[in-house]
Amino acid sequence: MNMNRKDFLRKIQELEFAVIELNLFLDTHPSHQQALADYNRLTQELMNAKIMYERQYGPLTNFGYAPSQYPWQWALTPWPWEDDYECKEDMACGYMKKS
Amino acid sequence: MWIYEKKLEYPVKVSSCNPTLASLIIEQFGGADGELAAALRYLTQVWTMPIPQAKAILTDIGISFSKLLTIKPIYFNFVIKFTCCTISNFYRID
Repeated sequence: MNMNRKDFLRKIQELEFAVIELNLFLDTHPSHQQALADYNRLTQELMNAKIMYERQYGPLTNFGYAPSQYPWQWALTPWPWEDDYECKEDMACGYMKKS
Repeated sequence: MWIYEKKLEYPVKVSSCNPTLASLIIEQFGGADGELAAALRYLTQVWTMPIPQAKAILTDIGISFSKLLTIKPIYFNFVIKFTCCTISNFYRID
C-alpha cells in the first residue's frame, strides 16, 4: 500500500465511522446477522489498517497497546490538533470556506 | 477503561476567524448542556438500565460524546490559533 500519512489516516477514519455506526445498530439489534457480518468484516479491515499505519507512521495508542520504534515515537509524531486536515468536497468543513 | 488514540474520529479544518462561533463551541463543550455533562450523564445513567440493549447503547453513546470532547477543543483551538484572535479578544465578544 502506497499512501501518504493523511490519506492513510483518512482511510482509517472512514472505516472507523462505518464500524461505529454498525456497533450502535447492533447494540439494539444483537441478533441481526447481516449487520454482524459487516461489522466483523470491517473490524478486521480496520485492525489491519491500524497495524499497517502504526508500522509506518508510529503508534496511535500508548500504554502497552502498540510497540514503538526508536526513538520513542509517541512523543515525536504529530498530535491530533497539529494535523491540518485537507478539506475535501464531501466534508462538513466545506461551508466554512471563504468564498 | 480509557485509551487515547493519537488521531481524531473525524477530520476537522477551520479556515476563518469566528470568535462568536468559538464562544458557542466552548459552551457546547463544557457548558450546562454541553458534551462533558452529557457524556457523564449517559455513563452514569447506564448503571440503572434493566436490559442488555439499553446498557450497550447508553455506554456507547457516552463514549461517543466523550469523543466529541476531543474534536471540539481542537476546533476551538484552531479558531484561536490560526487567526490571531487572542483569548481576551474572545471573551470581550458576546
